[in-house]
Amino acid sequence: MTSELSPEPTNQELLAYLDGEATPQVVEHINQCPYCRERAEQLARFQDLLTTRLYRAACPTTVELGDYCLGLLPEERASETARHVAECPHCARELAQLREYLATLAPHSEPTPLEQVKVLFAELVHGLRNAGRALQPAPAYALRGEASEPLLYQAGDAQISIEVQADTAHPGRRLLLGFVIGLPAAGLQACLTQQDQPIATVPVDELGNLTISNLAPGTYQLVLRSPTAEVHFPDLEIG
Amino acid sequence: MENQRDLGRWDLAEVARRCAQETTRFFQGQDQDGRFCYELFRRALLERDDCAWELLYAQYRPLIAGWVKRHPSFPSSGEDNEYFVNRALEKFWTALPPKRFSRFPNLPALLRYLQMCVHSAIIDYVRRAERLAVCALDDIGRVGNPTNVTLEDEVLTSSYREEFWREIDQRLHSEKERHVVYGSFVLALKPREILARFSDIFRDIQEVYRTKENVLARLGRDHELQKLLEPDA
Repeated sequence: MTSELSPEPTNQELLAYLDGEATPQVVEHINQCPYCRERAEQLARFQDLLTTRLYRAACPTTVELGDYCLGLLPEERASETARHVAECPHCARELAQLREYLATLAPHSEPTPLEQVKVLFAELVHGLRNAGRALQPAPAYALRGEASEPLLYQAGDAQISIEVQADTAHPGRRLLLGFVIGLPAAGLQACLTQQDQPIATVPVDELGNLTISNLAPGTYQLVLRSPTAEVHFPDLEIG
Repeated sequence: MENQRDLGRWDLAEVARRCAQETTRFFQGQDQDGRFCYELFRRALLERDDCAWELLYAQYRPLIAGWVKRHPSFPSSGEDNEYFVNRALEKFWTALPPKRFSRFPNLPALLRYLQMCVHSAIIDYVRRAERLAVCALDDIGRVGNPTNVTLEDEVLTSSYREEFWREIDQRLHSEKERHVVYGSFVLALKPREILARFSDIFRDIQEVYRTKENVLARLGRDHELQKLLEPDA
């Protein structure tokens, strides 16, 4: 089928039309001619298929670009990457961005409040009488029974006691009670997970108390988080 | 005074505790000893000690989260900070197998590499988003979003693109055709940008369009290539 209008755009003119570079006459023709519009759409589709499968096909991975930036690539690969960066505006841009980013994170840079979060690892204390003496890390103790003796932890200047009771509101389940001394209560939360799955996040009140209810028996991971500190506990086994 | 080798005999919990202590001293502007944190990295990466890795994650998560927040492309990603923290650590783990650890002789070198992994995680996301914007469909024919693409998907589609480029390259007859196809579809440049970038190859814009027309016409008649492009057609 041929166009009803003439002159019919050449394939070069159709390519220019798709790039937004066609003359007004070509644009008008295509707008009025279903046949040439179909030709343009077929050409566009073919180009889209090629782009989908080829876009940045020759570009190194971001890790490889990073290795190149840090001088960690073997010589031959580094030369290939340098040649590629010279002709690829996308990789050249990413490399420049990486260099600038690393420069802003240089050791002399002022750390942000997020970076300054103090991370502490809680260690089990065998009774408060041991506070202040050299501590031996101990494995997680199981918290069992209707009411277990509290476990006492020390993390820096903070002391935390954890105990488990039967949860009367949820038969068969447990209630975890905590009491925190020596950490600012403002914004302090207790985050309980199990195999990386979040179980509960509860606030610690102004008196240092925390409560997590309706817990099934199992092994849990507890972290106390505030804007300025994190305290990580050994695994808690709740029986 | 303990040397690095002696630290290998220390209890892991104590190494982690001292690492945390020295990191706090660093941020307080005091003299600090990087050997304890280096030992934690050594056990996690060289010995592939899972417990050491978990302690490393706990120790450095806030620091890495701060680095993510500082990256210029993070705000516009719309993605969660934790997502990039986890991606960065995945890359760090994968890019530093035990045989490579010796290339990082001290803590600053390791932290620098970790910073690079943060950048890499964010730029991977940006690249995927750009590809979705440039291409009507994603790389293997599905409509997707940058978060849903896994590391495995990324490796597979990257290999596919490299293989497809080799298929196309074999079908090109001249350097001019190669520059036009490479510029148009690999770099996604407009003909004017191709002319500007390869001005020593092309005389004018008409030559770029002429070359592109010829190569597309020939590739369009290539039945084997059409099968590769549209296997279900």
